[in-house]
Amino acid sequence: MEAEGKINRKLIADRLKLVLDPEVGLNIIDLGLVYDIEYSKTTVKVTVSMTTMGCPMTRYIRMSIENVLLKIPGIKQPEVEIIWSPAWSPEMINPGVMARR
Amino acid sequence: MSKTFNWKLPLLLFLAIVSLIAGMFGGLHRMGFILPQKLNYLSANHGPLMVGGFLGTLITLERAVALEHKWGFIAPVMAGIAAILLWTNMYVYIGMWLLIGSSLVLLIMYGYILSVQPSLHSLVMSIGGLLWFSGNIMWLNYIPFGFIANFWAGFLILTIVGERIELSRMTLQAKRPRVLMLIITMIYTVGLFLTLVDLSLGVYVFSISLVGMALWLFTYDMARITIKAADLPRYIAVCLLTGYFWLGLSGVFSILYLYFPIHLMYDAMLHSIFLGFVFSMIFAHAPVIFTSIIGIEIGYKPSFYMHYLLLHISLVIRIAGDLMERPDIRLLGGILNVTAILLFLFNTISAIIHSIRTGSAARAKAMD
Repeated sequence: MEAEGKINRKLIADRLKLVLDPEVGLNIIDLGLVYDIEYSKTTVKVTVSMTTMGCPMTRYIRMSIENVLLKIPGIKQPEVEIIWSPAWSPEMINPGVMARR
Repeated sequence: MSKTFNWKLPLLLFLAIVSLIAGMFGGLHRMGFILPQKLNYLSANHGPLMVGGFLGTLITLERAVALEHKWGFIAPVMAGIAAILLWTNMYVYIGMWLLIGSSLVLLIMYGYILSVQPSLHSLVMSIGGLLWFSGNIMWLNYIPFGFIANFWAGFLILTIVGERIELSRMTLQAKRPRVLMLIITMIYTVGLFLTLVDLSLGVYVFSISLVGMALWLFTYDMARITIKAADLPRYIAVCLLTGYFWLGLSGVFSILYLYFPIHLMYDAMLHSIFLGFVFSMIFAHAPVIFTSIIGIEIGYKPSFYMHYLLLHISLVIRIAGDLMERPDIRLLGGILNVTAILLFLFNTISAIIHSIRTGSAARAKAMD
């Protein structure tokens, strides 16, 4: 378990890799859905998009992100912002991941 | 319990599920299952309960939750109230109007999505919404259910196919296969409307399109890849691929129905779609969609394969009864169909309870 006060971008990104889109079988980092990560000692704000507007996974992914971020010691208020511009496109998927499939 | 828990959403889901149960028993009554006499009306409301009350509420709720705009919830609220009127058999005429309203709001939701993010897959889903709206208008005007059922099935098929086109973007570099699917769905839609002027021709056109859609899905769908994964992605893929088989078979049964116009062949055609295809999708996506709606994470459990297997085995029995013109075998299949869906509800509720318990335990441990 990480010690409090050691929050960094890599730690947050690693946590976000635990959030899977079960339909695709890929995590949201490899899918390229995470656009931005802002953090302080007690808060994290993650800006994400979905593969399409009205995607039925929207709330599922939002909840999953909040759940993994709350497991970071010290984080009390994770915030997830969903944006539609720039629109997600398949080119944003980590090419290494697709090549392995 | 998650801070995302909102009691209004599970309430709407509850209305949908009561519709499902009422609709299923209405369907069993049609097959000869004896219900208390005061519930006999459920058989007359079977189709509207299943498509409008259950799936209409569920799909509009799913869309509204995903869109995250309050006005979108007008659609599932209208469908949910219609569901109550249908399963109590009170003011059914108002229920019809409410479902028309719900389908109209769904169309507005799709219009909004298309205005922000125009896409081929959203267009296909919008056409699905249009088919539901058209079917509801036909219902209000007392067009025979034989015609309406095709439109209602079209609503569900194009909603699902639209989602599959969207996901295919991740594996398909070329746009041509997606355009091909768009063309197939257009031909399918034309076929549905053709049934209103030339039934045989329309049935031919939409049936061949159904086979075409199934072949496309077997060839290009993401499930071909995710079936090699584990746990939930694999379970979803297994359900999807089985559903595609039933979709193609429903097209074959539709054509056969033209040559062997027996009532039981019609049952085989319709339930290959509604049970084989649509319920496969519901079983596949329930862990995700129900999580989104109720705000409690539903973990994957291998026991989900129990209701999956029972659904498909029971559907084979039912359709064997249809094709052999054996109402007794058909009824056995029907009872097992209902058992499969009740088992699905039981397994899902068990997974929710397990999730609540483990969540509470984890929180208690964290507070120690």
